[in-house]
Amino acid sequence: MHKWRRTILFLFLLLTISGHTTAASLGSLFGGGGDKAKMQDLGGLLKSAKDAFGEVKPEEEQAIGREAAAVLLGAVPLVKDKALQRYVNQVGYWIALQSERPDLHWRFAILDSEDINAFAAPGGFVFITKGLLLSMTTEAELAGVLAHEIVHVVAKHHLQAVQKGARLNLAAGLAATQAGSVDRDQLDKISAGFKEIYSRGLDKNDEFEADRKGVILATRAGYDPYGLAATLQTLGAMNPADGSLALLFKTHPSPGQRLEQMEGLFAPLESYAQQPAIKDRFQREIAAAKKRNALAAYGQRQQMAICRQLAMD
Amino acid sequence: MKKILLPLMLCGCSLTALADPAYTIRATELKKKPFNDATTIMALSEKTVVATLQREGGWYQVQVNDSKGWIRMTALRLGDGTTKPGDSGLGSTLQFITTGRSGSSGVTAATGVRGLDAADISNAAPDFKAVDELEALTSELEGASAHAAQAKLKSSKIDYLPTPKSTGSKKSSNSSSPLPWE
Repeated sequence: MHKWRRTILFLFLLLTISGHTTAASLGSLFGGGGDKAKMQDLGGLLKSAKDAFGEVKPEEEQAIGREAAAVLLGAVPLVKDKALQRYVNQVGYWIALQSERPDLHWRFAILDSEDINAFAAPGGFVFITKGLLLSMTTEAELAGVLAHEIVHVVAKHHLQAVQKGARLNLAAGLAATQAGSVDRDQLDKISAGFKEIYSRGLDKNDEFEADRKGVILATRAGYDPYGLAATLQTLGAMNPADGSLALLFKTHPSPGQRLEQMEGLFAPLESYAQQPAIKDRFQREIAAAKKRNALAAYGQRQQMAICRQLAMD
Repeated sequence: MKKILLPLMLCGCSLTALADPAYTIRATELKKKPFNDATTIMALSEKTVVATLQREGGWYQVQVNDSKGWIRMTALRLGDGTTKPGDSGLGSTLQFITTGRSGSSGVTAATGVRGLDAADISNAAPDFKAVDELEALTSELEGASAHAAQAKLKSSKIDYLPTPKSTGSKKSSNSSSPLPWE
């Protein structure tokens, strides 16, 4: 029976691909009246297999990314500082240009949270929290983290995780959007899928891949290859009980493990070891943003607002 | 006043960096300069505690007792090696300086500052207005190459390295088959 089922499915697959028949006509082809319901059931299974691994078109990927970005921005607002956002965008885009997908609509943003983390969303969205940015001392460190996130986008790690996890028909949901009739139900499922991925994290091998390829991308862009490793060193020295590290540590392998996995990368990159880390420009940008009061903690900003108010009264 | 403030702030940053403790994760050598073939000042055994002064590429300049020298980053881990949940070691004191709050769980809770957690994301109402805002913020990407050139960044063609065997291939470790009938 098992073998027979498999044969039917295989035939079904062939026929569906060649477009000669549908589930209903296949049912009559085999003439087994009582098997008709079963055939449709199997058709559903097959459809989910195809959907889960179907290619998502670039414009669909961008629309899916918008949903994912909206989820993140619903949880954390943007840092309201155009100059600093522009700086991070220029650093990030320069690295993205060295990737296999330079033509994506790349967008980089600083999230207004003390939390230490970074995120990517399909279609070219990359986010870094203010907390992580403030833990860095050089542009090479920023470049390393952005490069890690760029790899997640280039390799479509989130898309694959959401498709696999939720068995979502991403393409179908978006096709409806483009036809003008927004299938909010499908889009809500996509949002839910991303909430799940951002809370639970990607496969740890996706993280190691993003580290390995991220180091290469940042080095291609001309940076000191050790930027990402330096950031991981800093994170590894922090108290893991700190609330600002909780989500990062829940969703990623430990900094120590990641550093260990990266070790073999550096010998082949020895000839690039003298590339600049760019400390001055980075610290200038951060200092200027601090002066504009763009990076203060929420409590501090409130205090300053109160002080200003008192001074005026 | 403003002229004095900025150097003071920068000074504060570098001072916290100066105090970062670290420890060796394997036996290594303290080098006179940040190069493999530089003179060795002394051999260091595993778990030697050092103070890091600065980083240069894959090397940290450190102080060990009275000697200053360079150690390979790969042989070093920042931190005092003892930081555990609830621990108030050197590491968490440093954190207090840089983030304005202690790493010890009690004080973190007392300040009312907590991280972004899974619940924040699960409960988030998607904010498309903020996505539009982001689009507007990032409409000036053409300057990226000039921005890179300004800092003398030069791009090179470098191939990705093959996946090391220890991590295992993603496909082979994935037990759930893409085929529903298997």
